[in-house]
Formats: sequence, structure tokens, C-alpha cells
Amino acid sequence: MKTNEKNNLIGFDPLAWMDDNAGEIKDQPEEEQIMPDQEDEEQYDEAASLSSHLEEGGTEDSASDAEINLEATLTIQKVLILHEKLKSSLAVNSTIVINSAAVAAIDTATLQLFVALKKTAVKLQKEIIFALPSQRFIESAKLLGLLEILEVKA
Amino acid sequence: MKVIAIINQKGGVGKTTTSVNLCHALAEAGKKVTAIDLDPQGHLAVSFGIRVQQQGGIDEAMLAEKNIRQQIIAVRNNLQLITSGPRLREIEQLTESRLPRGLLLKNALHENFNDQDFVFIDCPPSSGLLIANALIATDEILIPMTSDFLALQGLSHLMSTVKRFEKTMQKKYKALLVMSRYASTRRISSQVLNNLRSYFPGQVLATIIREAAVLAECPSFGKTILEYSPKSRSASDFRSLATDFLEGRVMYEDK
Repeated sequence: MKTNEKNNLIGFDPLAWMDDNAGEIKDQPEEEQIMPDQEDEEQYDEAASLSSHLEEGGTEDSASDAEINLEATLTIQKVLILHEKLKSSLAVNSTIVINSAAVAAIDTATLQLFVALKKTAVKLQKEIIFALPSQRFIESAKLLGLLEILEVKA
Repeated sequence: MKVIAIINQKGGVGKTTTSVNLCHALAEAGKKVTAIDLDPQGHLAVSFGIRVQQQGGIDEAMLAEKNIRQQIIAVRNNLQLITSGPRLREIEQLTESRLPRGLLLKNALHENFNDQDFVFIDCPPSSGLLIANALIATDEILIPMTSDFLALQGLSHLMSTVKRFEKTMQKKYKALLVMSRYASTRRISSQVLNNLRSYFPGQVLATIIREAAVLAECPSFGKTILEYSPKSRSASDFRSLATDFLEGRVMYEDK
């Protein structure tokens, strides 16, 4: 935490991953990187209402292998739920197959989540596979230069 | 000519308020300024008093259907506007294009504003294709920030996105921040400001834009703060901010 004032009113410093000296941006730590920006209670409510729908979408088959089906539109409003789902799945499975065939729209927040997931999986010696990526998924990842890190073939 | 994206994917931080009033203050100071509304909500145009937006704007230019110079509306002395246009939402959802989708804005701007001192792009509060176009089209970003915790959280996300673009595009953005909607009566405000000064030394513009009722009132009259209440402290704030921008007046970390 940069702020050293007494009676500090900022409990968690979201910028802690940044360079202290020159404002140069460093890689975010994993936990921070996958933390979505939920700006108000409405978004939490919206995320909560999506929860049951998303729960139905994923089919986690066994303790060592899981498949998660992505829905068509992946935006920052839904990233919290997806984060929780992926985190839970990663905790109990050694391989997660993410079916990306239905993706018609995906934003940078979701792609950022996937990058963090990949990095976390490598550290845990687990595997993330993006199966059947849609053209939109590929294009979005390509636009941000993430094809390689996500191991998605164009 | 410099192209500057006024960007923050968090809503309510003062992007459009900063765009409208900084552009007008710069124009008032004699600079030639073009403001581009890249937010499908079209609030920039409304704030300048353009209420009927049936005709196309930056949308048609990005889709290469019209030359961007055809879309220019002169709104004040030295200040011209390009509206968002009704099809900008379509571009955000574009899945196919005959042109590279990230280059639509850069291609539209291409050497069309060499007679201008500054082109400002008022970005939408999102993280999608329009933001990608803005970041690809510019080398400079101006980030309005409010003095609360959630704005810090949003800034963290934004800087992460910016870093990825820098890595992918092999360039370094010149990033400036402006403290907007500052509530001096709240203790957390000064702590947020101190955090920004620490993490971004020499990048936070020196003038703080204080929260004020008049800033919320003037868009409904289609006036900038310089017109609506020219002697107000808010008008003074934005004139001072324009000077900061031109002269590079910034804050540094307290030692």
C-alpha cells in the first residue's frame, strides 16, 4: 500500500502490482489479474442472477477432468461468475477443457481472465485447453496478441 | 497534430465532462481542436448542443463509407466535433469486416487532421472493440479519475489493458491522469490522490477538477462550463487544466 497515512481509508490497494518508482507497468500478480472490476452492487446482482444459468452451462465430469462451455457473449459484467467457476474447477481438476465454440463476443476483461487462468494453471502443473474456438474468439485473441499464450491456433 | 484518447472503462469518472470542457478551454486558448465521440451513447454531441443525431458520424467513417472530413461539425470557434453516429454500436459488435477491425479508427483518421493541434477521442465506458480502436489510433491517453476506491480498482484494470497493448504493438503510451469530480470533504479523496501521485509521478495533471453542481447542469443546456457559468470555479478549473495540458504542469509524489 502506497498510502502511509494514519487512519488509512483504503483497505486494499488495487495498484500494488505497479512499479513503485516510475509508473512503469509490470505484470499483475495472478490474483489481482483475475480480479474483475465490479463497480457497484447492481453488477453483483446481475452476476448473481447469471450464476444459476452458468452453473447449468458447465459440465464438470470428474475429479481430474472438466469441461466448461462458454456462452455466446462474454463481457466484464459476467467475468466475476466465470472467474469463480474457473477457480473452483481448477482447484479440483487437473485438466479443464473450455469449449469456446459458441463465443460470438468477448471483451478484454474476459481474455485477461483466461490469460491469468493459463498462467495459474502452469504454476499448478495443470492444463487448460481451449477447444473448438470460434472465429470471433480467435480474432479477439489475435487482436490482443494472446493467441500464443492461450495456445489457440488461428 | 496529437491524437489523445480520453479513456477509462469505468463509468461516471468524468470522461465526457473532461472531453467537452477541456476541448473548449483549449479552443478558447487558440488551439485548433477536434473532438470525436466514440461512445455510442452520444453524450459528447449532446453536451455541445447537438441534439439531433440521425446522420452518421465517426461510425460511417470507420466503416469507410464516408471520408471523415465529411462528418465534421463546427461547434465553437476553433472547435469541431464528429458525432458517434447511430451505427457505432454495430461496430462494437462487429464480427466480420473487409478491413482489419482494430484499425478502423486509425484508418479513418489517417492524415485528415493535419490542420488541427489536437484530436480528442471521448471513449466509451467499456473494454471492447471501440477501445481497441482508440488505443491503436493514438499514442497518448488521458485518464479521468474520481477520488474513490472503485476508481482505483478500475484504473488497475485499465493499466493492465494498456500494458497489453503496449506489449502487442511495441509502443509506449504517454499517459496522463486528471483528478475529476474531486470531493475535498471526503477523507478518502486525498488518500486516493496521494496514491495516484505515488504510482504516476509526473503524470497527474496539476489542476484538480472539483465536484460541482454546475458541471452536472450545463449539458442539458448544450453548453460547456465556460459558457454556462464562465466565472465559476469549475470554469476556472478547466481553464487551468488546459494550461496544465499545454505546459505540462503535473503533480509529483510528496517526499
